[in-house]
Amino acid sequence: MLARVADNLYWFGRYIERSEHLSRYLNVQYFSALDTTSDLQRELALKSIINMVGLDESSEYAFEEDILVAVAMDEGNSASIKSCMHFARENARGARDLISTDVWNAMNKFYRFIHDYPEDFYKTKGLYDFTNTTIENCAIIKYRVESTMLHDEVWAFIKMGLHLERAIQVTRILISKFNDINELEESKENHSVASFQLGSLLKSAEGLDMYHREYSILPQEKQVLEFMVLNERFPRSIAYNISELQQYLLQVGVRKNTEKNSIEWSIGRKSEFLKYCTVEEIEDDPLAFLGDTLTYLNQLNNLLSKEYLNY
Amino acid sequence: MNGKILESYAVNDRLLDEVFDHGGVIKKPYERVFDHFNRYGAEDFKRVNEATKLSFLLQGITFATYADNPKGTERIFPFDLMPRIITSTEWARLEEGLIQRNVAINLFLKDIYNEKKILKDKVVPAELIFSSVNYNKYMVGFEPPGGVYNHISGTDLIKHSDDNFYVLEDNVRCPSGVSYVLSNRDALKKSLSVLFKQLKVGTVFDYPAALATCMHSVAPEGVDAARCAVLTPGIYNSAYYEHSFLAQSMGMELVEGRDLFVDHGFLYMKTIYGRKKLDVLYRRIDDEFLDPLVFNPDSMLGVPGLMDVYRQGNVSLINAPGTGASDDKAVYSYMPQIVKYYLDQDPILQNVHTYQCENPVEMDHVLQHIEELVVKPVDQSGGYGIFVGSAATKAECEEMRAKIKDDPREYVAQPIMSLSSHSTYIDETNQFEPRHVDLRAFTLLGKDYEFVLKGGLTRVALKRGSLIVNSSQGGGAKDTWVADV
Repeated sequence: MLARVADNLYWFGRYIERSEHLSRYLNVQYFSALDTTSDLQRELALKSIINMVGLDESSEYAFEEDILVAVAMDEGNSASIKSCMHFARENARGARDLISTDVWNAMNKFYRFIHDYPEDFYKTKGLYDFTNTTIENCAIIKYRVESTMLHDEVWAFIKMGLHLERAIQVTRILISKFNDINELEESKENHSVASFQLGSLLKSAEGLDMYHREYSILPQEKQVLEFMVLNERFPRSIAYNISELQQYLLQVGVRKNTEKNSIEWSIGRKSEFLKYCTVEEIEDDPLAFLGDTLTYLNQLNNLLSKEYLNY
Repeated sequence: MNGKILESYAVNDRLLDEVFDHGGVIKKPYERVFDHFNRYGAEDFKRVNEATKLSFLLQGITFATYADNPKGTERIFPFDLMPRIITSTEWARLEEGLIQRNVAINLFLKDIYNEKKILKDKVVPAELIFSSVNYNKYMVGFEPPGGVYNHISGTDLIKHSDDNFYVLEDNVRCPSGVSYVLSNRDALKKSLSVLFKQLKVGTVFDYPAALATCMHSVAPEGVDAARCAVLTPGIYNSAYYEHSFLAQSMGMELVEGRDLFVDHGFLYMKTIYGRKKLDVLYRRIDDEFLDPLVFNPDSMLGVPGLMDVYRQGNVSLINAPGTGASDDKAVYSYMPQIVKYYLDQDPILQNVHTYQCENPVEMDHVLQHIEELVVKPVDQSGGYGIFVGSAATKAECEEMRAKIKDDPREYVAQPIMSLSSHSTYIDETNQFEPRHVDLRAFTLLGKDYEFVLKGGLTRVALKRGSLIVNSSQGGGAKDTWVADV
């Protein structure tokens, strides 16, 4: 497979996963903020959305609507959901001869939906529809990647993009929500705040139901951290995604995972570390741990690009 | 309003209508189609039509033209639900003619780049060939594997009021459109499955296999399992859909110039596991962009050193560079002589009479009768630069005259041929109306291999009265059925 096309596939995977997470985050944060009477919580929800998408926090947004448009629909903002879907499609187009027609059709059909979505409708009535349709369509596209493509290296590069992006998005969600919780606690908002925020954190990763099955208690910081970072059976935990990424690298890779400083070696070590890490080791300063994790994930991207995608 | 959709159809008595005779009676091959369509009410038909159009958009079967399209908005190639029918008998003759003509073109190309016999014998004027911008000096003295130059030809034909097909133009550089034939057929089968079942229509889906066979047949000598690829300028090219479609349906890599490099006389592509040698390249970029070392130095599309590898016989290019020297509209007028010269046969397919402006007597005729003629630049494609005398103002005619006098080699003229018309569904009126059509037929030549795609692409001039069918000029398409009817 061409290195350039492998790059297309990898970024196709990343953009699909990114769009899905941004949409869910926007959806969950916006609608859970409506359930609270606390101005601070509502303000924080918007700020947290800005952070997730990586918009400049100091920019002046006159109205809430401006923020919501900037995050979802602004074509001028390369981090918006619309831009991500545009990039996803361009990458799929660049590899159109290798992916299945079913994947392409799902991608393209959805692109037309996003492309033609009326901004005015979105601002006043369409936020739920827009984000929810995005989430659903990302799921359809991924399902078709899974069920209509050869599970060969073409597929493996899409999967690597998906899992790396998911690990990054989950880490960013955790960082964002732990920051929110800290800020709310400093301002002495009442006690249910942390639990409420942790619940919305779990919802942002579609993990609330499975969290309940795993712990049978209301969301608490330590358990949520353990669930979202270390759980090996939850497909949106960091450990799970790193372990998946390792599998695809082994499928594609020609190198042994003992070759020092290779990506296979690096991810092997990280994966083993997360298997035997306990939540006690990270709960004292989760933000420091998560910050390091994010740095590590970005390094992985660089290693992967250098070893397989440079052309 | 759910009346019948064909009841108010107006037949133009001066033109050949492929569906109705001059008395307005449906022609035999179309009887079943007519019966079928008359079962639709206007609203039902509209619904089927809209659904079909949408399916093209949703599948991304679109193109983008550079000229009117700075933002890269994608458009579908408008598709008409009424098929054009060519009877099997008529097609057999056409097919024979297409192979004859393209075999002759191949022999002509081989000759003008090697022995130049036809020029020495003064059958075709040598200066006509050597003055052509498409005559490629890097091809002189070189014969491609299998002796094939025009592996893929797109021959544009029209049907005249005498009920015969005439060749309007030969396209042997990078003729496009074949993917639309296959996607149109696919769409039509789905939308009109009941009708489709009733007629035995020749398949078009054997084209990718035929093209792959053709490519493998001309692999460099000594290569057993040739690695083949399709070379595209990239996703912003107007025909990118076609490039990716062909690569995918043949199971070949779709490469861009930046994916390729030359090393020690061989062509390689950059893969995740390092370099892989390429043997046959179906290039969909023009000659001048192929290799910045020998042609356009600013080109980012091609591969430095590619021509060198080609001349060493280590990669085959489809079509060969320099084929443009034979599809020039000035060379076209010599086609009957070319067929006769190489094959000693009378041409099966007729040319449209063509005036050479560089011949003073013919130029004089053109200048005097410009209102009755179509004037074409010899080296343009896509319908660009075409001047239709009857549709031009006095001032425009004057301007054209001046251009011809300025550069006679650049122009040819032909009588305005009345392209046949065909019933075509028009969105605005929700009715069928006559529209002019032509036919692009696709012929493949490999080493000991000949193939003609059954049917080809019928292009439709969607503007009322217009003769220009090119997609870049707002034309549409019809599915073309070769059938026993």
